[in-house]
Amino acid sequence: MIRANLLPRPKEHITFFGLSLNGERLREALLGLLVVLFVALLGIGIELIRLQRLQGAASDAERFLSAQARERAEAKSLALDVARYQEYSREAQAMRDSGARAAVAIARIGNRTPAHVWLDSIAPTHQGYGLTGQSKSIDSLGIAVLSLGRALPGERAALVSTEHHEGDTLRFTASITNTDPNPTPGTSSL
Amino acid sequence: MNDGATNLPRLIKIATLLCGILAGSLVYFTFEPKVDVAQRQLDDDESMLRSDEVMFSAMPGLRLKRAQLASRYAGLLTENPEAVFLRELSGLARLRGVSIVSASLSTEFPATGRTSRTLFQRTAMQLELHGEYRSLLSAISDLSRGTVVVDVGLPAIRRDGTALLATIPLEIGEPAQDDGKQP
Repeated sequence: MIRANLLPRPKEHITFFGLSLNGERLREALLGLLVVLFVALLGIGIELIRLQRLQGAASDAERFLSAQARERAEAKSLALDVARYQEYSREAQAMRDSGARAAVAIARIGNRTPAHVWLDSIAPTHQGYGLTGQSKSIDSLGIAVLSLGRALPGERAALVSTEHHEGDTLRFTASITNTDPNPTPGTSSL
Repeated sequence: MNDGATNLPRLIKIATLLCGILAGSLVYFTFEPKVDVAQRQLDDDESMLRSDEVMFSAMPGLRLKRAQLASRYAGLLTENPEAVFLRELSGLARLRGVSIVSASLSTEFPATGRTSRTLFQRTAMQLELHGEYRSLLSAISDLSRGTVVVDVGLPAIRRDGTALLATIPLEIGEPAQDDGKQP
């Protein structure tokens, strides 16, 4: 036979430093505190594991990097050497092309000079070329100046002076100027 | 009357939940900076390893390239380049049918006006060639194609009898010996 006391039990009270506390609520509060502690410890554990794994992986990677330091230095020095040699090579190539550029500059002026006009001198100036020559007529001279000025964008030809020489022949002075706002001395594109 | 006592368990649960969230956040924000630093360190190391891999795979090609460029560079190193240039100029003049009127070290420096920043030590020279128009142009074009590195400036040309006289500024270059950066 089972006997059970179904009468409501009197509430259990715990006296703590003279303060009377409800025992059941105190248990609930302590349980809550335990849950909070558990959550905190779980978080700390997870974060510590994460941190340890990351630091382990980083230290492995650093060991690997240290082992490759010599090879890396060699590769760097190799790359620097190549870059330096390439600079020399580029500059040498630019210098090697300079003769052809100079010849082309003269040829362009020569090719632009029309019939009945001939040049006596072509002299480089700070911004282009100064020309002297002779022309059979003023018409031919006009055509020559137009032709010299139109051949290249950025270049402008101008008649500086003209005078009668022998018979109908005219002696003239002209200039071809680079109108580029930032010309490099001696490097006219002519 | 009894509401305070009935709500107390619920309040304890809510307080437990809030405290749990607070504790979790506290742990997270305490560890996060350290984790972040470690993660960044790892990312840096890994990217360096990847770049090393790429660099090491390019090394055989770089070695070959360096060998090619070094042999080209060796070709630029000529003992007494001015003398070599004059010897070659004589052959060039014969080949192109022009005559050398004069060849002198220029007092005006730089002769070509292009020496603001250069890897080459330059010796300025002024050359006068006499000949026909076509021959002169061919000779000027070939001046910089010899063994020695030569930078040819814009020439001045004037009529001289039935032929032309070209005054050509040029600079003979040799790799600078004192820049401390030679390969």
